[in-house]
Amino acid sequence: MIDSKHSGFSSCETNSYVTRETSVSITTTERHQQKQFPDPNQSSKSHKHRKRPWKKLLWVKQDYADNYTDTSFLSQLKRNSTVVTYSYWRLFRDFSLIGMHLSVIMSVILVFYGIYALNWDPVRPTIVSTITTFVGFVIYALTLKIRRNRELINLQRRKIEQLSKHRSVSPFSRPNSPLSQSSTDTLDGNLNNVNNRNVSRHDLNLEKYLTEPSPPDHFGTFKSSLLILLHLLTLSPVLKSLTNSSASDSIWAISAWLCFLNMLFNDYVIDFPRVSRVSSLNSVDDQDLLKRKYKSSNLSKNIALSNAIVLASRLNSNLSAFCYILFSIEVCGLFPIFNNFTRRCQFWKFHTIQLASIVFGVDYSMYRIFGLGWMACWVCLQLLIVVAGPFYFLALQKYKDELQGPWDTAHPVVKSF
Amino acid sequence: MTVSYSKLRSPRKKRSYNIAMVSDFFYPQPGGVELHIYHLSQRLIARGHSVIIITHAYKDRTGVRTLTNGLKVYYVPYLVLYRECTFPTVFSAFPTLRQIFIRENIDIVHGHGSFSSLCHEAILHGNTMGLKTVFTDHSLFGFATVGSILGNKLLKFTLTDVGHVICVSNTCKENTVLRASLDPACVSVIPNAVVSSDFEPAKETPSLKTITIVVISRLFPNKGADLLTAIIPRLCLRHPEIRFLVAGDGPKFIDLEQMRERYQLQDRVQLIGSIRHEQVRDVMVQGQIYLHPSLTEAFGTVLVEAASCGLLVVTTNVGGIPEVLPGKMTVFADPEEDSLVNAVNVAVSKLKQNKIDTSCFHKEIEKMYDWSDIAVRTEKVYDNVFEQENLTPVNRLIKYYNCGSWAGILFVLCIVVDNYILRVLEWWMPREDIDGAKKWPNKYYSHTL
Repeated sequence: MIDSKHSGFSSCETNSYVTRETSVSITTTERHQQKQFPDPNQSSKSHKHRKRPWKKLLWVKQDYADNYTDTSFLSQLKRNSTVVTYSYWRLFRDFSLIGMHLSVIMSVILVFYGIYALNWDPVRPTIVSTITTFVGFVIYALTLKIRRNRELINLQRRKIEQLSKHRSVSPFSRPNSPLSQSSTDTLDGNLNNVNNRNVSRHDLNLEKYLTEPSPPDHFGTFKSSLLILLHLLTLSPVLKSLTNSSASDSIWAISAWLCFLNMLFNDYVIDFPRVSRVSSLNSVDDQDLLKRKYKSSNLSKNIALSNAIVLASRLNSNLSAFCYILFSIEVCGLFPIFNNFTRRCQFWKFHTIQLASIVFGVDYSMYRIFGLGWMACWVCLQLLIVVAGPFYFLALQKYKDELQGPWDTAHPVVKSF
Repeated sequence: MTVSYSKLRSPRKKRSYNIAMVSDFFYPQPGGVELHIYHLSQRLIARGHSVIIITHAYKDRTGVRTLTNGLKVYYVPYLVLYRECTFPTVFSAFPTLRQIFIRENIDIVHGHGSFSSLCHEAILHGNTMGLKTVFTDHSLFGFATVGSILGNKLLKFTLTDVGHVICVSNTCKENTVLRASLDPACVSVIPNAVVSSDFEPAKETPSLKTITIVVISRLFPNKGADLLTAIIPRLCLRHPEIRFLVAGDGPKFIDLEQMRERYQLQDRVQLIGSIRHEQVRDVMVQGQIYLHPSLTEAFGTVLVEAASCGLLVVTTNVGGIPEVLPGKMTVFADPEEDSLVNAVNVAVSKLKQNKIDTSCFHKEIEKMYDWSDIAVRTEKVYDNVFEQENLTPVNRLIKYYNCGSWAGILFVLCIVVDNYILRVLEWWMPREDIDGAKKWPNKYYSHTL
């Protein structure tokens, strides 16, 4: 024991112990058996008397030293059992979101450059973006309304089925006793608990069991957007002169950092969790959790807004500052929400159209404004992220070493809620 | 090595060690680690060793206290961060620990609990001072979360140079070996034990007309409180003779209360709230079945206590639990609602048909788990550690350097700084200037054994 422990390099051996496969480790454990504590009983017994095999039990007094390592050591270890194999195209789809977000940021910068250096009319891009936003909002509100109604109809139909079934199944159970609920445990579907509860309470309000988000309140939306517009309009002289005392260089630096942070903190979620109806019923906590699941982080949108304000303060008229900020809010704030919504509703073709038009539109305007060289650089950067990024990600997968075993906290299976 | 064999074989030459148990967890806080430290220390004192305990101050309990049989406890005032763990600084405890180690003439530093930063520091500084170190791991850790990755790195740092590691179950050993990349031969399995006289079964066994199921558990999600909440109404519906006695407090207590009200089980489910450890036996003997729905458990002392009280144990087979009790005392279940319900059904029918005699459990447990036996086995570990030669500083650095590409460099830096601090302390507070503490006379106890 002393020799191997103090060679100084023995830790190499012990480190490699873990990285090797389990089957290999058995051979090493056999080697370790020589290094056990001296067992006082061992010498007195004759060698003819074979030892009983070691058992993984603590309550049996066994004829082995306490640091004995059996060949079954780590036999329950599982490696990489939950690891998913990624397909390149799936990753490509995920990474394309980064490319799209970069293009969104770039489009805002391009418009700023146009107004600032090329004397564009600031109203035109804003009008285009406002019209697009309005159309988008109409689509958004209509789709949500349709989906919610469809779900409500489904729910009502299933409830009617359940009600008729319930009457025929348990005519003897006392309707007021809550324990009678569990008698229908065996009924199929997620819904039966919903309906059981409804039956016992004679509660016919199904609205709260809907998982689809409710469509926006039209008047409220109109009011808040008007408020924001008027605020922006009144504040635009202030915003315009916000950074008069600073040099342009520091503004460009701040803006660059804000764009970088914006890209970093954006929520690139592509698969939205399907909410099961049962989980939405459990308790207030779960409903909070659900809301948190749906609500993505707003950090990147806030950063985008500050970027817009910082840049707008360099423009020379109140109108251009107002128009530019409005444009940025619509492109960097509202468009990502709309795009998330299309993906949540699984409108993949529509999503692809949005993605392609944004990316290629920005590429084309790069070409028109900055020329071929800059556009080539920009396209190369995009390709690097979208095409080479997934390859790098796949290459990193071979370092994955997940260890699972009996020491992990078990996941309880609870069903009657 | 051969020398050590001969020494160990002759019990006459038994050494007596000065041992420092170091952990953030000690009384007045209740818990499994605290219990382990106290009882192990008492039995080691009874075997002629001198034991002190170093822990952090609990509110106004600071300074030095002496418990039964001269067990000295140092309550060192440190900043407590979260759930009675001290603030993890690498070096700040060194001066105090060095003072205590020198005053008490410590040979072996024995740390407990991988959550305890004080224990990690003591092992690190003990190694720097050239003392022998032992570490006991009481808990299981996963590998998946960020917290466990950091915790495992810290554990690796501490255990790279530790003399020996003790784990409370074989599953715990597998876990620790993986977490800290240890040589399995450096890890011993020594379970917890119970003081069987404290867990006597009831004088007269309660009648089987009503079957009481006892649950004693801190009501946390990882203790299976959700499972408990789910199965109680189902069992109550199925068996009208069952009643539940739930002791323990925690964030899931409200869920249990809500369940009780929703299913109108107030007269059948009794929620006691938190109880002290000495009350555990009195609660247990009111029932016939002990239910343990935990989702993770390194050892599960409470199972042994329940069996010792003559209860049939129904438990989930997670972590180290399958190793703890023989099959006839337990009914195992998967951590699933249906499986647990079935297991309780099996247990109830076993009791009703008189298939098992729970009255003999107490005697059997007494033979299986005894603190004196644990102390003897721990002593063996101490003997072994004491035979080891200390690493030379260079070899120690090489060992740490091999811990990982970046971590290795960081570890080496820490060790070098620690050595410098030791030099500074030797110059500032020389060893000769520190008065030795007078040891408790222990002749009487060594005679009795």
